[in-house]
Amino acid sequence: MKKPNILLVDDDEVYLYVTTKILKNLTKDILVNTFTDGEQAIEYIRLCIQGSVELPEIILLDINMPFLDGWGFLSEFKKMKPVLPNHQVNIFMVTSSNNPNDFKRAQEFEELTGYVIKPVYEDKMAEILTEVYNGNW
Amino acid sequence: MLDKEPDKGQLFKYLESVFTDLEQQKIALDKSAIVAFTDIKGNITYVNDKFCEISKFSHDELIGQNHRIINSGYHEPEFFRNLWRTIAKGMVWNGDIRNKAKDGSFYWVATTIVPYLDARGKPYQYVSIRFDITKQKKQELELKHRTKQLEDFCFIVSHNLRAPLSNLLLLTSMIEGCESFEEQKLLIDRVAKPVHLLNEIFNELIASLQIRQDGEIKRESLFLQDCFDKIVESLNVEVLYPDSSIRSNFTKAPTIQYPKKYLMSIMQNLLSNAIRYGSPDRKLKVEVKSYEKNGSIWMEVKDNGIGIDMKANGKKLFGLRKTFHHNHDAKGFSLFITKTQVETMGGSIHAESELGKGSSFYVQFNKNDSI
Repeated sequence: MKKPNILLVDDDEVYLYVTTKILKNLTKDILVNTFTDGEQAIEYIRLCIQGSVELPEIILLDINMPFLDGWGFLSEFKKMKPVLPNHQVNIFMVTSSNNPNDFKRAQEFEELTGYVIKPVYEDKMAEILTEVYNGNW
Repeated sequence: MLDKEPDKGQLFKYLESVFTDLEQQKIALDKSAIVAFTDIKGNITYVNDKFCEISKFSHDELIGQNHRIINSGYHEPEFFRNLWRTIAKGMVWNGDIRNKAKDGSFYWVATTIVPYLDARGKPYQYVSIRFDITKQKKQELELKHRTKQLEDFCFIVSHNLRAPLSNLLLLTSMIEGCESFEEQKLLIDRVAKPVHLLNEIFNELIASLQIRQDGEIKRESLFLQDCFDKIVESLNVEVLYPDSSIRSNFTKAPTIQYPKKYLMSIMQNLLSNAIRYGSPDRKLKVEVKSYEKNGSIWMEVKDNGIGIDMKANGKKLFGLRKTFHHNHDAKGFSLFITKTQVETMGGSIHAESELGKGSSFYVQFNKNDSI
């Protein structure tokens, strides 16, 4: 069984620290990468396409970030989709915004698997992993 | 009603009473409403005194003119097309219209236009009956503006407090679930950051609330150039940024009635933003000028810095705690405070910018009665 591979994209360092910790609490066998804005994350996906690194199965994506925000990341990601390796990437919008406009906008992206409001506690995170890995994690 | 076959005397008496009735009704109407008659092309054939009084045109200036003479340009062409379609069909039109008086001031009237129809049902003239609702419109707009400000404020509060709160909730739940003391200690160390952030945001919100309550703060007559020179001096521009060129021209609108504290703060925030986000590729150039436009005093601060991606960030630019660059000492607070100060004094602020080229900020200090 391959290790779960997860990408966290958020400019909030406390969130990144705690979420990484929660993921590692849930399972020791897990790969977590973190980036603080969408641009870095897109660069990382480019590396994945070149085959330098493994494409993650899950991306937890914040909306409000400097440079390239969550929406910007999604549009860039959309463009890269045709050349992506043949496996599913599950992107979850993870945000502290309960702004209905954001939720509506999120529904327009078929690239999104889910929309989660912070804080994401351990049990919620376990649900996400279960959803993506069909319980095998 | 008339009985059958009236004699002349009866007829005369009857007509006289009808006439007196009509006369009385006309007097009552003229006392209460703004009345005008036009032909089917909209050329004015009659106006009453109230019409002259509110439009500030004399009777002779209005008769024979097209009704467009008081058009304020506020409504879309479709608005008047619809009006004309309605009355040309012989139907009554109702609506609120903003008109322009002779001296350029605006007034709002609740308007009813009734077509006079000939024997074939075709309009041959129109009568418009209007009531002055300028005061109500002003209050309505003021109320809308206040509500918008309040909504913005609530949004800012909830939006900005939510992120650190959510982190604290997560941390707390993890601390509670911790098995080892060491692990707990590590987590507790992480609590400090969101707590301090919460505290800072809270203080900033309080500061901005205080500005909003300052609506009656004293205005004084200020020379923009003097204030600006003091700001340039206080920022120590000549010493710290010797290569930069900061030019100002306040000759087109040299003075303003404004609270000194706010003017200084607005200038300081806009200028220090321009300096902070200068481009490393070229010498910093800032141009500041003031001018009068549409009865308001404006100030423009234009730089050739790194610019802002307006498409992505334009709407959030004046929000609390927004920074748009990787600059770490950048605090988003100054634009939020600037906007609060400008709006509290009844003005407005907006920005134009292009990434890599520079930004311009436009402050309209006092909105002219722009209803």
